[in-house]
Amino acid sequence: MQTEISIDEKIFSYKKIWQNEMDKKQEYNVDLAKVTKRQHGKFYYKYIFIMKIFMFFGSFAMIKYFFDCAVALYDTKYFSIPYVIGIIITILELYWFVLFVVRIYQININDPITIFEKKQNLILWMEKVEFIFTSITSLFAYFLLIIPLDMYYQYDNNFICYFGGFLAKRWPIILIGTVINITYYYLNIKVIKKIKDDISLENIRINLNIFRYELYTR
Amino acid sequence: MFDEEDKRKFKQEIGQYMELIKNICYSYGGYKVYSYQDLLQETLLNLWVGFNNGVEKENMLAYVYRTTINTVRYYSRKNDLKNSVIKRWNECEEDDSAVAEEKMELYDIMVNLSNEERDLFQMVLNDFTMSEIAEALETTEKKAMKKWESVKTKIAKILERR
Repeated sequence: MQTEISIDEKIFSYKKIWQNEMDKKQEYNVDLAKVTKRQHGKFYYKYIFIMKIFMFFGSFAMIKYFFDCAVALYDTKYFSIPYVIGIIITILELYWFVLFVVRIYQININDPITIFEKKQNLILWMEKVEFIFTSITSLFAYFLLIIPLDMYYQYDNNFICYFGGFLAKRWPIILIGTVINITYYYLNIKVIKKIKDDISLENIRINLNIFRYELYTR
Repeated sequence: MFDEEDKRKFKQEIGQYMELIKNICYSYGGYKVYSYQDLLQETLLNLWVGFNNGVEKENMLAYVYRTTINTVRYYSRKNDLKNSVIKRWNECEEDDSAVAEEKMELYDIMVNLSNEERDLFQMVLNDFTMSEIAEALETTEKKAMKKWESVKTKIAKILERR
């Protein structure tokens, strides 16, 4: 009984402390525009950055090819067009990746208003271009251009002979690269869709703010 | 886009629970101004979305409470609550007053209670009556009372350990 009473007393005194603590929240003034924009900034950081990581792994096959090309060029000391194309494309792809990351980080998270109003079109545009670019490089260039050219030079026009050997030797890389690439494209399409959906959600947020201001300041 | 009537209703219905919503958001995200504001923003957005989608509004307190708690738990990071407590803890250590000791006791209790127990404890601290707690938890007053008794026993154990 004694403990019961003392606990009730304690809780009563805790109540006072708690109320005082809770009153401190008044110091946190709510700037609605900034909150909304920051939330949006978080969205971009979260999804687009995940996409970039996927893209990086999606370029795994290309990076592997880059080193193959570089080593082959160094070892054989003979000029091979597919190797050079491979190196140029890989460098372009990596350059695009770095450019994108830099662009994202140029946007200051503490001033996120710029993200939506000024950089939104840029981000969407870059996303689209990158989508097309990576599609061309990894699907068209790698599988349709580089491999046949490689076959042509290395095996004296004997495509079938090389293709069999190529598949036998490189199938795990092709498989992993393809699976990662397809996943990346699938997610990319979903993200572009999500961005579009989120723009409508953004409109709800902005509209909501207009009258919600009264709620915040009650 | 929004009906004036809807806005008026929303303000009227949700407005009366703003203090509760703010308190819950503050207790989780209070260690950082951004964190608190974001939680409040998301909570109100979710309340609005649910409100417009015709959720059961008979028990408004339960709807507000459930939505707020779920949103706050979903959006706050894993260590948000812990960080909040630690920040206040550090403030207490700097403070020499007699209240500081009690404050530390309170935060010790907060850290050691489970999520459900802590929520119940916070409602009591926010001066909710037992019938209001029962309403928010969508249970009977008797069951809420029983839960509170078990939380009290746990609090006593925590205090004994100190």
